[in-house]
Amino acid sequence: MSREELIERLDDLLHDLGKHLLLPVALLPATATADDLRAAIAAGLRQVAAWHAFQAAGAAALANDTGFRRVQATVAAALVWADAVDVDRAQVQADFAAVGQAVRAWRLQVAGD
Amino acid sequence: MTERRSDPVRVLLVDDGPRYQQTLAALDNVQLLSIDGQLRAPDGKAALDWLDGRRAEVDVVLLDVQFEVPDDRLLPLEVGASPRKTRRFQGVAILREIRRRWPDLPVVLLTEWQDLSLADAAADVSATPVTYFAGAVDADTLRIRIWSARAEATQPLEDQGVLWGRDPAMRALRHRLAVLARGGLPIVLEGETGTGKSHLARAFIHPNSGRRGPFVAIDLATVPAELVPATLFGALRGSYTGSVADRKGAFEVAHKGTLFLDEIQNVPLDIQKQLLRVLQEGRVQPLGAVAETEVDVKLVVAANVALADLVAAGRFRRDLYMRLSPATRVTVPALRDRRQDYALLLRQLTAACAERPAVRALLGEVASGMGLRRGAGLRLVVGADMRHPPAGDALELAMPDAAWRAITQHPFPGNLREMAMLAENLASFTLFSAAEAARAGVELHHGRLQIDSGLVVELLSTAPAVEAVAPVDDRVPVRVAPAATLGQCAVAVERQVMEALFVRCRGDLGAMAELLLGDRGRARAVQLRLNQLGLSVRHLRADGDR
Repeated sequence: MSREELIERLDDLLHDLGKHLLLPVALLPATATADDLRAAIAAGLRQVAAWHAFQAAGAAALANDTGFRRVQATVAAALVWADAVDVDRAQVQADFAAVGQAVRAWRLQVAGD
Repeated sequence: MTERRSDPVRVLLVDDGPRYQQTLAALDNVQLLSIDGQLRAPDGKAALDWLDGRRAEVDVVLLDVQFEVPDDRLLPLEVGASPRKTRRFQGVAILREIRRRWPDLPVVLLTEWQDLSLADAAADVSATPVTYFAGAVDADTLRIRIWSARAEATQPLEDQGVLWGRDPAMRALRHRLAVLARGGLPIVLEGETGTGKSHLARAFIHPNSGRRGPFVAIDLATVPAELVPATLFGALRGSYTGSVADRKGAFEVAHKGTLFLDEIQNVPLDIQKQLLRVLQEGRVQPLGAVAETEVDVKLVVAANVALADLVAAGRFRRDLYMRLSPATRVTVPALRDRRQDYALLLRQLTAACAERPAVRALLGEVASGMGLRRGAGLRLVVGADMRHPPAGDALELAMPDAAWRAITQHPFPGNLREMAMLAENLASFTLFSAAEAARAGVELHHGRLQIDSGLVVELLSTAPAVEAVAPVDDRVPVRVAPAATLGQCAVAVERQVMEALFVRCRGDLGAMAELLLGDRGRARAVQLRLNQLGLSVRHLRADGDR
């Protein structure tokens, strides 16, 4: 995967995470139940095509990349919430925000900013 | 249009998928408009087609950034952009087109993350008025953002004696000033002479500050340097030559009220230090006094130059500048940047000049001869309005098309002050001729007088010869170093020039385009050139912030 392609894919991932996961969870009403929250997460995860495409395209090649590993770890932590019995909304948001931060940090590193 | 508090905000959602629709449909006080049976427009073309006939039905547009739609549904992003990049920033392309067609339509770009590449791609439109980024939001924040966008766009054309007009920059400025007026920090107003800074302070900021004390205005351009300390801080009798009585300073007089210091750039450096101390401690020490007096004022300062430039030039103290809350400084736009408001402003200024005694006397004389009621006002009639017969409730001054064209092309270097004088001169000359004719026995019945086109051209051509272009110094020092080729040398020089102008124009690519190309609308060309030179707008802005 070229540097430019990697940057583009990271941008896609940021966009999808924001649109399909963080924003819908943030916009749930304060009275939302754990089921509402789980449903929002599950629906969002189905939509985050960018991550699946990203993994399919370059996971093997990037396996030793620190940035990739860090993102992968944060994604794994966030995905747990889709099946969790007790759902802590603040922690859900923090975990997905951590994914975004990891992606952004990696993007900055790749872009050489 | 007036704000209807209870009405839901009518939102046109532009999104290629249903995700935002599902999320937004749950928000109170938000009504997603139906487009061909869906609660969203699936792409830019569909949105623009729909808006073409139904703009009035929309309060706010909510716009996604990335659109996965077929090639034939994409709006072009920029020359040479790949289909992928065009999809990635399709929201920016749609926003540009909306800004071109409906500059006053509020648009909220829906982007959750701090999108680094979007910041660059949308640099030319992100800073335009009524354009917002949703940012990291919760439901309440997004609702407030949407509601504020509508409120800003639907505020009255005129209120509290200020002509805000339709210009989006002025409407945004009203909102900003309303917020700043309530706060406790100083307000910095920048803008060319004649843009109405003093009037804004008196008519809008002070009444909206919630302060019950007086409004005190000091024009520092008219105060001799040696009298500035006594004028601002007060003085005891005998404390300086010619001081024959105790004198209260402006800070003390404005206690619990608003102090407006016009042309703050004229304050000498040594007195700036004293001013800084007053701001820091909230106390003044009159000349010759031992005791200090506590003062509580809302400070508003105005300058017709960029104070940041004076700081850079060592002519204004940095610490005082920082104390003035420069992050929230407000730039009042030049009149030539509000051309869509020319007709409204000239109408209002014409009506207002009828209150001046000289004009009122002439108006009374002519109006009574025409059989108009006593106290009839003055109304300017422009363009299509002239097709209607005079309404009879005011004496009408009709502006010929040719004269109106000349006015719309005039840059008004003296800004509102110059336009007010033009209105008064047009009224005086037209009424004077009519009054003379009436005295000579000419019967006037029509209720409408034609303005002489030649008079308009003459008044415009003898307008004060003030520099029409924004006061940006176009001289840039460059350092030339040997390079392998002349081409490389030229690029190095151009980079320095562009960087310096970016700083001088404070990141306003439109101002750079005006300076370099004579056309503010070509900001995009400037941005592309910066990119070609390897200069990132984001980096330059970050450098500027530091």
